[in-house]
Amino acid sequence: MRVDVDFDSCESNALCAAVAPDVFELDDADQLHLVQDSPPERTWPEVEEAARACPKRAITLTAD
Amino acid sequence: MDFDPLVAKATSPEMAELRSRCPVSHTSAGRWFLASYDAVLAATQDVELFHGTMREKGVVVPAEERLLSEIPEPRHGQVRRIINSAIAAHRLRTIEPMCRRLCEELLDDLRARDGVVDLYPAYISPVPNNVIAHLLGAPPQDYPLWAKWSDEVLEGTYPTLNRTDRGEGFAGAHPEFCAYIDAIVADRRANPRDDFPTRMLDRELDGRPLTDLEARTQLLFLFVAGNATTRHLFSSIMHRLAADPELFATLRADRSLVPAMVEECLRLDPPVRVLFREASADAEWRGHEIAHGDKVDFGLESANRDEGRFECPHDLRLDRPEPKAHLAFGGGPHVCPGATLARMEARVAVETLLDKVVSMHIPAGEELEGSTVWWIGGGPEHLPVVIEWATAAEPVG
Repeated sequence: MRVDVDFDSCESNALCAAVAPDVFELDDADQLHLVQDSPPERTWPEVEEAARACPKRAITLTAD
Repeated sequence: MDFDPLVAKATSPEMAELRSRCPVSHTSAGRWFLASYDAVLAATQDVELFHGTMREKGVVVPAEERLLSEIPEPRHGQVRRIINSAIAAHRLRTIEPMCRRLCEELLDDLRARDGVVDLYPAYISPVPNNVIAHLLGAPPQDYPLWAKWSDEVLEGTYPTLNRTDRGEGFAGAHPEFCAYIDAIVADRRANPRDDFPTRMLDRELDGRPLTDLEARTQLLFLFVAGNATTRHLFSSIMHRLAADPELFATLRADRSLVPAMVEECLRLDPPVRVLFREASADAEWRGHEIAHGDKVDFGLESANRDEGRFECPHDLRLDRPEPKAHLAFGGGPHVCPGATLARMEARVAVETLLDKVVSMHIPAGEELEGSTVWWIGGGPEHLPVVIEWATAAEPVG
């Protein structure tokens, strides 16, 4: 699975980071960083929940 | 009398019928009401058409005095980024220990008292109030003042009319609260420090920082929105725990169920029963002609009880497959920015209670009543209980 984030629409709501902290992280300036863009399979349920939770629908998941 | 979904109980057969047969309806009060999960979810995504406002028709609020929920896109998103720098998940690492200490202190104080105690003033109210007042830069000795002001705002006419008997706008309607917030803003401009009000004043939008008036408006919004709502969530949780000893014991034996308990209370007793919106244009929406300026009410409580979305919707179940699917926080780009904070506070308050309390029950003959503000849900506004405390040596969970 590949994770893409539309950083232009991200508003640092951090709901993704609350659900999948191994994949999404926010720094001290509230900027989102993708820790890994091809996360391991065990994290997929959280990553999918993170994508659903994004208020801006800024997270796209695609099959490899 | 004509049926009005705004006041009907979500558990009533009339509301069940409305959800299944008429999810978008024009009510006897001349407003639109969205009753089903599907309609409410779709409407929360359509932030261009449905603008947030609690104001009555014809009430005009100057741009700098619009609460976050009232600001149209794209500026809403920009201001929201700043708000997120206070209360989003990554900012809560230092807040959670503060919240836990507060919960422990309040329960230790309560333990010293005998007989029936009211959890509402002793535990349910102070936790959300003090946490949000702390986040917004108030010193501990002033927390009780904030609690009083918060209730005055919610119970008064400022949210709907932008005025009270005392005057116009927030400054006229609630002058003491306004002066207090203005003093925080002035102080952080002069003496910046590592806190949210300072960060808020540092950030720039469209090449300029927020004005003093904009900063005051959003601090007010955060405080009022983050206080009473979370309190009513706490009240729902504590009430359900006190009323159901088996549920209490189940959670005490397995702490991993606490987040699911919080979500079920949000679903069954959403602190905000209805979200208020106004159509920003003439539009056909799901086969209905909605006119510019029409009031459109999103039935959050009704959506959370939708038989088409939730199996046995009126039952509290700790094993729902998608515990967070409810719409208690709204949805879409304007979903409650304090959701993560509220969830954290509720989880910590329940965990601390389960650490210190073996069981609790409500004495017979107590009549418990919820908020007198009709759009506010959650639990009752007082909660007398008899508590059996854990001994220090007893192993828990």
